[in-house]
Amino acid sequence: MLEIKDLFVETLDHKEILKGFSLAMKPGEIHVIMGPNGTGKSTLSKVILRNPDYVVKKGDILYQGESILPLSTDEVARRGIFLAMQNPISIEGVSNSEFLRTALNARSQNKVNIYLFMKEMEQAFQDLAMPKEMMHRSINQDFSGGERKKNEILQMKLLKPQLILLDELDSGLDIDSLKIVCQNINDYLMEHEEASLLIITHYPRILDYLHPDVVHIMIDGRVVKSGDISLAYELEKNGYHGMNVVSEEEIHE
Amino acid sequence: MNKLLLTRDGKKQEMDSNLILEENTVIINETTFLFIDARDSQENLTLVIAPEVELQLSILGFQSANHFSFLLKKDARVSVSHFGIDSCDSYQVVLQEEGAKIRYCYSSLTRNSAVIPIEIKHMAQHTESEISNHCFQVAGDYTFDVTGIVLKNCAGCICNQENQIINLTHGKSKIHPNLLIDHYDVVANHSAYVGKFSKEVLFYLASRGLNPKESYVLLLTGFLLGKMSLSDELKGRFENKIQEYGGERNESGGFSNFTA
Repeated sequence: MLEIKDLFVETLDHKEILKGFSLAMKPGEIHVIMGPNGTGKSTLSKVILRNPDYVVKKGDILYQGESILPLSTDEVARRGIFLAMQNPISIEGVSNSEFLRTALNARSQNKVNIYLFMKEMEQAFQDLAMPKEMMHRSINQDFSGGERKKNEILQMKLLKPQLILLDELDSGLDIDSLKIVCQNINDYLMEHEEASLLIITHYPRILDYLHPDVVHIMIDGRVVKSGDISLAYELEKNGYHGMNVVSEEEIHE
Repeated sequence: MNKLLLTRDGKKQEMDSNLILEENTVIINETTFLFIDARDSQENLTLVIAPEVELQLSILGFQSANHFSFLLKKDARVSVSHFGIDSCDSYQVVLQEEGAKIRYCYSSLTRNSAVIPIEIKHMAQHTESEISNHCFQVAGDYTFDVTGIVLKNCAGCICNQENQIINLTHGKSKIHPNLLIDHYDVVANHSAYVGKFSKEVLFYLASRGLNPKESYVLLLTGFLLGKMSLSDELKGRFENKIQEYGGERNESGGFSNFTA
Protein backbone atom coordinates (compact mmCIF):
# COMPACT_ATOMS: atom_id res chain seq x y z
CA MET A 1 0.00 0.00 0.00
CA LEU A 2 2.57 2.56 1.15
CA GLU A 3 6.32 2.28 1.11
CA ILE A 4 8.55 5.13 2.21
CA LYS A 5 12.20 4.56 1.41
CA ASP A 6 15.00 6.41 3.16
CA LEU A 7 13.27 9.78 2.87
CA PHE A 8 15.17 13.02 3.42
CA VAL A 9 13.05 16.19 3.38
CA GLU A 10 13.76 19.84 4.04
CA THR A 11 11.75 23.04 4.15
CA LEU A 12 12.05 25.72 1.49
CA ASP A 13 14.53 27.53 3.73
CA HIS A 14 16.68 24.37 3.89
CA LYS A 15 15.82 23.17 7.38
CA GLU A 16 16.20 19.39 7.38
CA ILE A 17 13.17 17.67 8.92
CA LEU A 18 13.03 14.06 7.77
CA LYS A 19 16.37 12.30 7.89
CA GLY A 20 16.18 8.85 6.43
CA PHE A 21 12.57 7.99 7.26
CA SER A 22 11.42 4.52 6.14
CA LEU A 23 8.09 2.73 6.54
CA ALA A 24 6.21 -0.09 4.80
CA MET A 25 2.45 -0.63 5.13
CA LYS A 26 0.45 -3.45 3.61
CA PRO A 27 -3.18 -3.12 2.52
CA GLY A 28 -5.55 -3.26 5.47
CA GLU A 29 -2.88 -2.50 8.06
CA ILE A 30 -3.04 0.11 10.78
CA HIS A 31 0.25 1.80 11.70
CA VAL A 32 0.91 4.38 14.38
CA ILE A 33 3.66 6.97 14.57
CA MET A 34 4.46 8.43 17.97
CA GLY A 35 7.23 10.86 18.76
CA PRO A 36 8.16 14.02 20.64
CA ASN A 37 7.03 17.45 19.42
CA GLY A 38 8.95 18.77 16.43
CA THR A 39 10.25 15.41 15.31
CA GLY A 40 8.62 15.63 11.86
CA LYS A 41 5.40 13.60 12.23
CA SER A 42 3.07 16.21 10.75
CA THR A 43 5.66 17.09 8.13
CA LEU A 44 5.64 13.45 7.05
CA SER A 45 1.87 13.56 6.48
CA LYS A 46 2.17 16.78 4.46
CA VAL A 47 5.03 15.37 2.40
CA ILE A 48 2.94 12.32 1.52
CA LEU A 49 0.24 14.77 0.37
CA ARG A 50 2.95 16.58 -1.65
CA ASN A 51 2.70 19.91 0.12
CA PRO A 52 4.86 22.29 -1.96
CA ASP A 53 6.39 23.80 1.19
CA TYR A 54 8.62 20.72 1.55
CA VAL A 55 11.38 19.49 -0.73
CA VAL A 56 12.29 15.81 -0.98
CA LYS A 57 16.07 15.64 -1.20
CA LYS A 58 16.49 11.89 -1.25
CA GLY A 59 14.42 8.71 -1.10
CA ASP A 60 11.00 7.83 -2.48
CA ILE A 61 7.35 7.38 -1.54
CA LEU A 62 5.61 4.52 -3.30
CA TYR A 63 1.83 4.22 -3.17
CA GLN A 64 0.37 1.04 -4.63
CA GLY A 65 3.76 0.37 -6.21
CA GLU A 66 4.18 3.76 -7.92
CA SER A 67 6.18 6.76 -6.87
CA ILE A 68 3.98 9.69 -5.95
CA LEU A 69 6.83 12.19 -5.82
CA PRO A 70 6.11 13.52 -9.35
CA LEU A 71 2.42 14.10 -8.47
CA SER A 72 0.73 17.25 -7.21
CA THR A 73 -1.38 17.30 -4.05
CA ASP A 74 -4.70 17.02 -5.89
CA GLU A 75 -3.40 14.12 -7.99
CA VAL A 76 -2.28 12.27 -4.86
CA ALA A 77 -5.68 12.88 -3.25
CA ARG A 78 -7.53 11.66 -6.32
CA ARG A 79 -5.50 8.44 -6.21
CA GLY A 80 -7.04 7.72 -2.82
CA ILE A 81 -4.86 9.24 -0.10
CA PHE A 82 -6.66 11.29 2.52
CA LEU A 83 -5.18 13.44 5.27
CA ALA A 84 -7.33 14.31 8.28
CA MET A 85 -5.48 17.41 9.35
CA GLN A 86 -4.31 18.37 12.80
CA ASN A 87 -5.75 21.88 12.48
CA PRO A 88 -8.43 21.88 9.78
CA ILE A 89 -8.81 25.40 8.45
CA SER A 90 -12.08 27.23 7.89
CA ILE A 91 -13.12 28.59 4.51
CA GLU A 92 -15.72 31.32 4.58
CA GLY A 93 -18.37 31.34 1.90
CA VAL A 94 -17.82 27.75 0.69
CA SER A 95 -20.37 25.37 2.16
CA ASN A 96 -19.51 21.84 3.24
CA SER A 97 -21.95 20.34 0.76
CA GLU A 98 -20.78 22.45 -2.17
CA PHE A 99 -17.16 21.63 -1.39
CA LEU A 100 -17.71 17.90 -1.10
CA ARG A 101 -19.83 17.76 -4.24
CA THR A 102 -17.05 19.55 -6.14
CA ALA A 103 -14.46 17.18 -4.67
CA LEU A 104 -16.51 14.13 -5.68
CA ASN A 105 -17.09 15.53 -9.17
CA ALA A 106 -13.33 16.08 -9.48
CA ARG A 107 -12.77 12.36 -8.87
CA SER A 108 -15.41 11.06 -11.21
CA GLN A 109 -16.00 11.12 -14.94
CA ASN A 110 -19.72 11.52 -14.34
CA LYS A 111 -21.40 14.23 -12.31
CA VAL A 112 -22.49 13.17 -8.86
CA ASN A 113 -26.20 12.49 -8.51
CA ILE A 114 -27.35 15.25 -6.16
CA TYR A 115 -30.13 13.18 -4.56
CA LEU A 116 -27.82 10.25 -3.76
CA PHE A 117 -25.11 12.62 -2.59
CA MET A 118 -27.44 14.41 -0.19
CA LYS A 119 -28.74 11.11 1.19
CA GLU A 120 -25.23 9.83 1.78
CA MET A 121 -24.19 13.09 3.34
CA GLU A 122 -27.19 13.16 5.66
CA GLN A 123 -26.38 9.62 6.75
CA ALA A 124 -22.76 10.57 7.43
CA PHE A 125 -23.87 13.54 9.54
CA GLN A 126 -26.16 11.22 11.49
CA ASP A 127 -23.39 8.62 11.97
CA LEU A 128 -21.10 11.26 13.38
CA ALA A 129 -23.80 12.80 15.59
CA MET A 130 -23.42 16.15 13.83
CA PRO A 131 -26.37 18.49 13.20
CA LYS A 132 -27.45 18.24 9.55
CA GLU A 133 -27.59 22.04 9.27
CA MET A 134 -23.80 22.00 9.30
CA MET A 135 -23.75 20.69 5.74
CA HIS A 136 -24.89 24.10 4.51
CA ARG A 137 -22.49 26.06 6.68
CA SER A 138 -19.12 27.30 5.44
CA ILE A 139 -16.31 24.76 5.82
CA ASN A 140 -15.36 24.66 9.52
CA GLN A 141 -16.60 28.23 10.01
CA ASP A 142 -17.51 28.71 13.69
CA PHE A 143 -17.03 24.96 14.27
CA SER A 144 -15.53 23.90 17.61
CA GLY A 145 -12.24 21.97 17.61
CA GLY A 146 -14.15 18.70 17.98
CA GLU A 147 -16.61 19.55 15.22
CA ARG A 148 -13.72 20.29 12.87
CA LYS A 149 -12.22 16.86 13.58
CA LYS A 150 -15.57 15.19 13.01
CA ASN A 151 -15.89 17.12 9.77
CA GLU A 152 -12.59 15.65 8.61
CA ILE A 153 -13.92 12.14 9.17
CA LEU A 154 -17.17 13.08 7.44
CA GLN A 155 -15.12 14.05 4.39
CA MET A 156 -13.22 10.76 4.62
CA LYS A 157 -16.48 8.80 4.61
CA LEU A 158 -17.71 10.52 1.47
CA LEU A 159 -14.44 10.63 -0.46
CA LYS A 160 -13.70 6.95 0.24
CA PRO A 161 -9.89 6.89 0.29
CA GLN A 162 -7.68 3.81 0.37
CA LEU A 163 -4.95 5.28 2.57
CA ILE A 164 -6.02 7.43 5.49
CA LEU A 165 -3.59 9.60 7.43
CA LEU A 166 -4.86 10.83 10.79
CA ASP A 167 -2.73 13.67 12.14
CA GLU A 168 -3.50 14.01 15.86
CA LEU A 169 -7.16 13.29 15.35
CA ASP A 170 -7.63 12.84 19.09
CA SER A 171 -6.60 16.39 19.98
CA GLY A 172 -9.70 18.53 20.48
CA LEU A 173 -12.10 15.61 20.73
CA ASP A 174 -13.94 14.91 23.97
CA ILE A 175 -14.31 11.33 25.22
CA ASP A 176 -17.71 10.71 23.65
CA SER A 177 -16.76 12.33 20.35
CA LEU A 178 -13.55 10.30 20.17
CA LYS A 179 -15.59 7.11 20.56
CA ILE A 180 -18.02 8.17 17.84
CA VAL A 181 -15.26 9.17 15.45
CA CYS A 182 -13.30 5.96 16.02
CA GLN A 183 -16.47 3.88 15.59
CA ASN A 184 -16.96 5.55 12.21
CA ILE A 185 -13.37 4.84 11.21
CA ASN A 186 -13.68 1.21 12.28
CA ASP A 187 -16.94 0.85 10.34
CA TYR A 188 -15.20 2.33 7.30
CA LEU A 189 -12.30 -0.10 7.62
CA MET A 190 -14.74 -3.03 7.93
CA GLU A 191 -16.47 -1.88 4.77
CA HIS A 192 -13.22 -1.21 2.90
CA GLU A 193 -10.97 -4.11 3.85
CA GLU A 194 -8.07 -2.94 1.71
CA ALA A 195 -7.99 0.52 3.27
CA SER A 196 -5.01 1.31 5.49
CA LEU A 197 -4.60 3.74 8.33
CA LEU A 198 -1.57 5.72 9.42
CA ILE A 199 -2.19 7.34 12.80
CA ILE A 200 -0.02 10.15 14.14
CA THR A 201 -0.62 10.66 17.83
CA HIS A 202 0.94 11.59 21.15
CA TYR A 203 -1.26 9.43 23.34
CA PRO A 204 -2.29 5.75 23.28
CA ARG A 205 -5.89 6.66 24.21
CA ILE A 206 -7.02 6.57 20.56
CA LEU A 207 -5.42 3.14 20.20
CA ASP A 208 -7.97 1.75 22.66
CA TYR A 209 -10.46 2.16 19.82
CA LEU A 210 -8.34 1.79 16.67
CA HIS A 211 -6.24 -1.33 17.13
CA PRO A 212 -2.90 -0.93 15.37
CA ASP A 213 -0.78 -3.64 13.82
CA VAL A 214 2.47 -1.73 14.21
CA VAL A 215 3.61 1.16 16.39
CA HIS A 216 6.64 3.22 15.34
CA ILE A 217 8.59 5.63 17.48
CA MET A 218 9.92 8.54 15.46
CA ILE A 219 12.78 10.66 16.73
CA ASP A 220 14.60 13.41 14.85
CA GLY A 221 13.09 12.66 11.48
CA ARG A 222 13.36 8.87 11.38
CA VAL A 223 11.89 5.71 12.88
CA VAL A 224 14.04 4.48 15.76
CA LYS A 225 11.92 1.65 17.07
CA SER A 226 8.88 -0.37 15.95
CA GLY A 227 6.73 -2.89 17.73
CA ASP A 228 3.19 -3.85 18.61
CA ILE A 229 0.70 -1.85 20.69
CA SER A 230 2.57 -2.66 23.89
CA LEU A 231 5.23 -0.23 22.68
CA ALA A 232 2.72 2.64 22.89
CA TYR A 233 1.75 1.76 26.46
CA GLU A 234 5.39 1.35 27.44
CA LEU A 235 6.06 4.77 25.97
CA GLU A 236 3.23 6.30 27.96
CA LYS A 237 4.60 4.76 31.14
CA ASN A 238 8.27 5.55 30.69
CA GLY A 239 8.40 8.53 28.31
CA TYR A 240 10.86 8.84 25.44
CA HIS A 241 13.85 9.16 27.73
CA GLY A 242 12.93 6.03 29.65
CA MET A 243 12.66 4.06 26.42
CA ASN A 244 16.33 4.61 25.60
CA VAL A 245 15.38 5.76 22.13
CA VAL A 246 16.55 9.31 22.51
CA SER A 247 19.44 11.15 24.06
CA GLU A 248 19.02 13.82 26.73
CA GLU A 249 20.13 16.36 24.13
CA GLU A 250 17.42 15.36 21.64
CA ILE A 251 14.69 15.55 24.31
CA HIS A 252 15.56 19.15 25.06
CA GLU A 253 16.04 20.14 21.44
CA MET B 1 -40.39 39.75 -7.16
CA ASN B 2 -40.40 43.43 -7.99
CA LYS B 3 -37.92 44.47 -10.64
CA LEU B 4 -36.32 47.73 -11.60
CA LEU B 5 -34.20 47.87 -14.71
CA LEU B 6 -31.63 50.65 -14.93
CA THR B 7 -30.04 51.25 -18.31
CA ARG B 8 -28.14 53.99 -20.02
CA ASP B 9 -31.45 55.15 -21.51
CA GLY B 10 -33.35 55.37 -18.25
CA LYS B 11 -35.47 53.27 -15.90
CA LYS B 12 -38.02 50.58 -16.51
CA GLN B 13 -40.10 49.30 -13.64
CA GLU B 14 -42.03 46.13 -13.00
CA MET B 15 -43.08 46.89 -9.48
CA ASP B 16 -46.15 46.51 -7.31
CA SER B 17 -48.21 49.57 -6.60
CA ASN B 18 -46.93 49.74 -3.05
CA LEU B 19 -43.52 50.72 -4.39
CA ILE B 20 -43.41 54.28 -5.61
CA LEU B 21 -40.81 55.55 -8.03
CA GLU B 22 -40.60 59.34 -8.00
CA GLU B 23 -37.82 60.80 -10.11
CA ASN B 24 -34.77 59.09 -8.61
CA THR B 25 -36.41 57.95 -5.39
CA VAL B 26 -38.03 54.60 -4.64
CA ILE B 27 -40.31 54.68 -1.63
CA ILE B 28 -40.77 51.31 0.05
CA ASN B 29 -43.94 51.33 2.13
CA GLU B 30 -44.44 47.60 2.58
CA THR B 31 -42.20 44.67 3.22
CA THR B 32 -40.93 43.60 -0.16
CA PHE B 33 -38.37 41.85 -2.35
CA LEU B 34 -36.80 43.99 -5.02
CA PHE B 35 -34.28 43.17 -7.74
CA ILE B 36 -32.43 45.98 -9.47
CA ASP B 37 -30.81 45.03 -12.76
CA ALA B 38 -28.35 47.80 -13.58
CA ARG B 39 -26.71 47.62 -16.99
CA ASP B 40 -24.35 50.28 -18.19
CA SER B 41 -26.26 52.81 -16.10
CA GLN B 42 -25.12 55.86 -14.15
CA GLU B 43 -28.00 56.70 -11.86
CA ASN B 44 -28.29 58.32 -8.48
CA LEU B 45 -31.03 56.31 -6.85
CA THR B 46 -32.41 56.84 -3.37
CA LEU B 47 -34.43 54.20 -1.55
CA VAL B 48 -36.52 55.35 1.39
CA ILE B 49 -37.64 52.52 3.65
CA ALA B 50 -40.67 53.37 5.75
CA PRO B 51 -40.95 52.59 9.47
CA GLU B 52 -41.10 48.89 10.41
CA VAL B 53 -40.80 47.83 6.78
CA GLU B 54 -38.42 45.09 5.66
CA LEU B 55 -36.65 45.24 2.32
CA GLN B 56 -34.77 42.35 0.71
CA LEU B 57 -32.84 43.90 -2.14
CA SER B 58 -30.65 42.24 -4.75
CA ILE B 59 -28.65 44.33 -7.18
CA LEU B 60 -26.75 43.15 -10.24
CA GLY B 61 -24.59 45.85 -11.75
CA PHE B 62 -22.91 45.33 -15.10
CA GLN B 63 -20.47 47.99 -16.28
CA SER B 64 -22.49 50.40 -14.20
CA ALA B 65 -21.55 53.43 -12.11
CA ASN B 66 -24.60 53.98 -9.97
CA HIS B 67 -24.80 55.55 -6.58
CA PHE B 68 -27.38 54.06 -4.24
CA SER B 69 -28.57 55.96 -1.18
CA PHE B 70 -30.62 54.30 1.54
CA LEU B 71 -32.67 56.18 4.09
CA LEU B 72 -34.00 53.94 6.84
CA LYS B 73 -36.83 55.08 9.10
CA LYS B 74 -37.73 53.71 12.53
CA ASP B 75 -37.24 49.94 12.91
CA ALA B 76 -36.80 49.48 9.15
CA ARG B 77 -34.79 46.40 8.22
CA VAL B 78 -32.82 46.10 5.01
CA SER B 79 -30.75 43.28 3.57
CA VAL B 80 -28.83 44.08 0.39
CA SER B 81 -26.98 41.61 -1.84
CA HIS B 82 -25.16 43.73 -4.39
CA PHE B 83 -22.99 42.12 -7.06
CA GLY B 84 -21.14 44.13 -9.66
CA ILE B 85 -19.21 43.08 -12.74
CA ASP B 86 -16.79 45.66 -14.08
CA SER B 87 -18.93 48.17 -12.29
CA CYS B 88 -18.04 50.90 -9.83
CA ASP B 89 -21.34 51.27 -8.01
CA SER B 90 -21.12 53.01 -4.66
CA TYR B 91 -23.54 53.34 -1.78
CA GLN B 92 -24.47 55.43 1.21
CA VAL B 93 -26.69 54.39 4.09
CA VAL B 94 -28.38 56.73 6.53
CA LEU B 95 -29.90 55.03 9.56
CA GLN B 96 -32.08 57.96 10.37
CA GLU B 97 -34.36 56.70 13.09
CA GLU B 98 -34.13 54.44 16.10
CA GLY B 99 -33.95 50.69 15.61
CA ALA B 100 -33.11 50.80 11.88
CA LYS B 101 -30.86 47.95 10.73
CA ILE B 102 -29.00 47.16 7.54
CA ARG B 103 -26.96 44.21 6.38
CA TYR B 104 -25.12 45.06 3.16
CA CYS B 105 -23.07 42.54 1.15
CA TYR B 106 -21.29 44.17 -1.74
CA SER B 107 -19.15 42.12 -4.11
CA SER B 108 -17.30 43.22 -7.17
CA LEU B 109 -15.58 41.25 -9.90
CA THR B 110 -13.60 43.67 -11.98
CA ARG B 111 -10.74 44.39 -14.28
CA ASN B 112 -11.34 48.16 -14.10
CA SER B 113 -9.63 50.69 -11.89
CA ALA B 114 -12.01 52.28 -9.42
CA VAL B 115 -12.34 54.04 -6.09
CA ILE B 116 -15.53 52.99 -4.32
CA PRO B 117 -16.76 55.43 -1.67
CA ILE B 118 -19.06 53.83 0.90
CA GLU B 119 -20.59 55.60 3.86
CA ILE B 120 -22.77 54.36 6.69
CA LYS B 121 -24.21 57.03 8.95
CA HIS B 122 -25.89 56.23 12.27
CA MET B 123 -28.11 59.15 13.25
CA ALA B 124 -30.22 57.51 15.94
CA GLN B 125 -29.92 55.20 18.93
CA HIS B 126 -29.91 51.42 18.63
CA THR B 127 -29.27 51.39 14.91
CA GLU B 128 -27.19 48.57 13.44
CA SER B 129 -25.07 48.11 10.33
CA GLU B 130 -23.20 45.00 9.21
CA ILE B 131 -21.29 45.81 6.04
CA SER B 132 -19.25 43.42 3.96
CA ASN B 133 -17.32 44.57 0.88
CA HIS B 134 -15.47 42.06 -1.27
CA CYS B 135 -13.64 42.59 -4.54
CA PHE B 136 -11.94 40.10 -6.84
CA GLN B 137 -9.58 42.26 -8.82
CA VAL B 138 -8.52 40.75 -12.12
CA ALA B 139 -6.65 43.86 -13.24
CA GLY B 140 -6.35 47.59 -12.57
CA ASP B 141 -6.16 49.51 -9.30
CA TYR B 142 -8.99 49.26 -6.82
CA THR B 143 -9.84 51.07 -3.59
CA PHE B 144 -12.58 50.63 -1.01
CA ASP B 145 -13.05 53.84 0.94
CA VAL B 146 -15.42 52.77 3.71
CA THR B 147 -16.54 55.11 6.46
CA GLY B 148 -18.79 54.25 9.36
CA ILE B 149 -20.10 57.25 11.29
CA VAL B 150 -21.89 57.23 14.62
CA LEU B 151 -23.11 60.63 15.73
CA LYS B 152 -23.14 61.95 19.28
CA ASN B 153 -25.89 60.63 21.55
CA CYS B 154 -26.47 57.58 19.36
CA ALA B 155 -26.13 55.04 22.16
CA GLY B 156 -26.42 51.30 21.63
CA CYS B 157 -25.40 51.32 17.99
CA ILE B 158 -23.57 48.51 16.22
CA CYS B 159 -21.38 49.63 13.33
CA ASN B 160 -19.35 46.80 11.80
CA GLN B 161 -17.54 46.63 8.51
CA GLU B 162 -15.50 43.85 6.88
CA ASN B 163 -13.54 44.47 3.69
CA GLN B 164 -11.46 42.20 1.46
CA ILE B 165 -9.77 42.52 -1.90
CA ILE B 166 -8.33 39.45 -3.58
CA ASN B 167 -5.82 40.73 -6.06
CA LEU B 168 -5.00 38.46 -8.97
CA THR B 169 -2.35 40.73 -10.46
CA HIS B 170 0.24 43.21 -9.32
CA GLY B 171 -2.22 46.11 -9.54
CA LYS B 172 -2.63 48.31 -6.50
CA SER B 173 -5.36 47.54 -4.00
CA LYS B 174 -6.25 49.73 -1.07
CA ILE B 175 -8.80 49.63 1.70
CA HIS B 176 -9.48 52.62 3.90
CA PRO B 177 -11.61 51.30 6.77
CA ASN B 178 -12.68 54.39 8.73
CA LEU B 179 -14.77 54.53 11.88
CA LEU B 180 -15.77 57.96 13.14
CA ILE B 181 -17.48 57.30 16.47
CA ASP B 182 -18.70 60.20 18.56
CA HIS B 183 -20.39 58.29 21.38
CA TYR B 184 -19.04 55.87 23.96
CA ASP B 185 -21.75 53.19 24.20
CA VAL B 186 -21.20 51.76 20.72
CA VAL B 187 -19.92 48.51 19.21
CA ALA B 188 -17.77 49.23 16.17
CA ASN B 189 -15.40 46.87 14.36
CA HIS B 190 -13.56 46.95 11.10
CA SER B 191 -11.35 44.52 9.25
CA ALA B 192 -9.46 44.75 6.01
CA TYR B 193 -7.55 42.18 3.96
CA VAL B 194 -5.73 42.63 0.69
CA GLY B 195 -3.95 39.68 -0.84
CA LYS B 196 -4.36 36.34 -2.53
CA PHE B 197 -6.25 33.26 -1.48
CA SER B 198 -4.03 31.73 1.20
CA LYS B 199 -1.81 28.79 0.31
CA GLU B 200 -3.12 26.89 3.35
CA VAL B 201 -6.64 27.11 1.92
CA LEU B 202 -5.45 26.01 -1.52
CA PHE B 203 -3.56 23.07 0.03
CA TYR B 204 -6.63 22.03 2.02
CA LEU B 205 -8.79 21.97 -1.12
CA ALA B 206 -6.06 20.22 -3.11
CA SER B 207 -5.78 17.57 -0.40
CA ARG B 208 -9.41 16.70 -1.19
CA GLY B 209 -8.64 16.30 -4.88
CA LEU B 210 -9.44 19.74 -6.30
CA ASN B 211 -6.96 21.04 -8.86
CA PRO B 212 -5.90 24.71 -8.65
CA LYS B 213 -8.52 25.93 -11.12
CA GLU B 214 -11.35 24.00 -9.47
CA SER B 215 -10.24 25.43 -6.13
CA TYR B 216 -10.21 28.94 -7.55
CA VAL B 217 -13.72 28.63 -8.93
CA LEU B 218 -15.04 27.36 -5.60
CA LEU B 219 -13.22 30.01 -3.60
CA LEU B 220 -14.15 32.79 -5.99
CA THR B 221 -17.84 31.94 -5.96
CA GLY B 222 -17.81 31.61 -2.18
CA PHE B 223 -15.88 34.84 -1.78
CA LEU B 224 -18.22 36.85 -3.98
CA LEU B 225 -21.59 35.29 -3.21
CA GLY B 226 -21.13 33.29 0.00
CA LYS B 227 -22.41 35.98 2.34
CA MET B 228 -25.34 37.05 0.21
CA SER B 229 -29.00 36.25 0.80
CA LEU B 230 -30.18 35.33 -2.67
CA SER B 231 -33.06 33.39 -4.15
CA ASP B 232 -32.00 30.20 -5.93
CA GLU B 233 -32.85 31.87 -9.25
CA LEU B 234 -30.65 34.89 -8.62
CA LYS B 235 -27.87 32.82 -7.11
CA GLY B 236 -27.78 30.70 -10.27
CA ARG B 237 -27.86 33.81 -12.40
CA PHE B 238 -25.01 35.45 -10.49
CA GLU B 239 -22.96 32.24 -10.65
CA ASN B 240 -23.50 32.11 -14.38
CA LYS B 241 -22.29 35.69 -14.65
CA ILE B 242 -19.08 34.73 -12.83
CA GLN B 243 -18.62 31.79 -15.19
CA GLU B 244 -19.25 33.94 -18.26
CA TYR B 245 -16.75 36.45 -16.96
CA GLY B 246 -14.19 33.75 -16.31
CA GLY B 247 -14.33 32.54 -19.89
CA GLU B 248 -14.72 29.07 -21.28
CA ARG B 249 -14.71 26.23 -18.81
CA ASN B 250 -11.84 23.92 -19.49
CA GLU B 251 -11.78 20.15 -19.11
CA SER B 252 -10.80 20.32 -15.47
CA GLY B 253 -13.67 22.67 -14.67
CA GLY B 254 -11.58 25.83 -14.34
CA PHE B 255 -11.90 29.17 -16.14
CA SER B 256 -9.60 30.09 -18.97
CA ASN B 257 -9.52 33.78 -18.02
CA PHE B 258 -8.37 33.18 -14.45
CA THR B 259 -5.15 31.53 -13.50
CA ALA B 260 -4.17 30.44 -10.04
